[in-house]
Amino acid sequence: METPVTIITGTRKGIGKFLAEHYVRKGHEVIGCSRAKPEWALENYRHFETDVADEKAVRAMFSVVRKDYGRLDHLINNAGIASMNHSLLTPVATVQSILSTNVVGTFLFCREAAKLMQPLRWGRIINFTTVATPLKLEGEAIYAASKAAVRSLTEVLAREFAPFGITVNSVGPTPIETDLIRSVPKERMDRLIARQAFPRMGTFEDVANVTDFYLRPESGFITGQNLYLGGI
Amino acid sequence: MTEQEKILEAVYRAVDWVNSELPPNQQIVKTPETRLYGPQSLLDSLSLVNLIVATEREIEDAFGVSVLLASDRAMSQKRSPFLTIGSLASYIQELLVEAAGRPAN
Repeated sequence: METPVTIITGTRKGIGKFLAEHYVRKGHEVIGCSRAKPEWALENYRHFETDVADEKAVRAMFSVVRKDYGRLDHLINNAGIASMNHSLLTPVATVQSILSTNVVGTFLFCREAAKLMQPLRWGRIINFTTVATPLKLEGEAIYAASKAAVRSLTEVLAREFAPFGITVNSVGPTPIETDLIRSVPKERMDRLIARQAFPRMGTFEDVANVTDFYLRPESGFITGQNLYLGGI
Repeated sequence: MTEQEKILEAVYRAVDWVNSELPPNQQIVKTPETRLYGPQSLLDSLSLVNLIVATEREIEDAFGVSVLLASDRAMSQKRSPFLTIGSLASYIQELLVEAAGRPAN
């Protein structure tokens, strides 16, 4: 079997960095990206300084992947941003920025990845949603809405990509200790976690368990699904 | 070989790839006049998608240029560049001229 090639977005830190290390350990060739350069390096990991919402840059990145690796097996669309704020105090620039990274970026990577996976008649795409959507989290209106769009995108792309043998699923993590939630007040976070069946913070391993499941060759009959962690 | 001929060759290679997945009675004929959509076309929508994506790949291999065929511009043209193999090849030539910054012939 050929070495699987896996693209993970948003790998500079947090979940993305953990997943990059996780899949390198599992023997994948991992290609990551983020707007800024990471402060770490790894064998069998290659980094692109790419804004996920910049179409030209994303297409250039996929051209290099095609030329240098000749295939793509997996895409994990982890890159995402949030901004905790009441909607009455949210500037349009923030709205555009969140939609651009979370929705446009996810779409662009799905589109370009499917083009690379199409000749193989095989591929696995995983998008990231959030429990903030079903929990209707106050202060995260645009973030929750952007991830609702990602869920919908996942469901439709699953149908469009099925003829190419590509599955498209999503995982919705609970809050995890990352920069994404650093600005959220503690009592608000505690209230949110109390609404989960298992009232605790999530871990990177919880997320990797789901991505591992979706990437398995045996998961080829699972597509268009979303899995929320924590019992939402 | 002219650039136009080289483009047609690339499109035909994409056609070969799509044909390899189609039943014998639905094979795409490799001529510039072949209709790619509409009532006179044998292609269903999925085969057309397959052909466009495979053509982007073949053009990149042949010319070293990554072209996006399904752009806003292509979709908004009165006469679709995807109507026939010939119109697709002409449209690709326009994109290559633009990508190279050369004046159009």
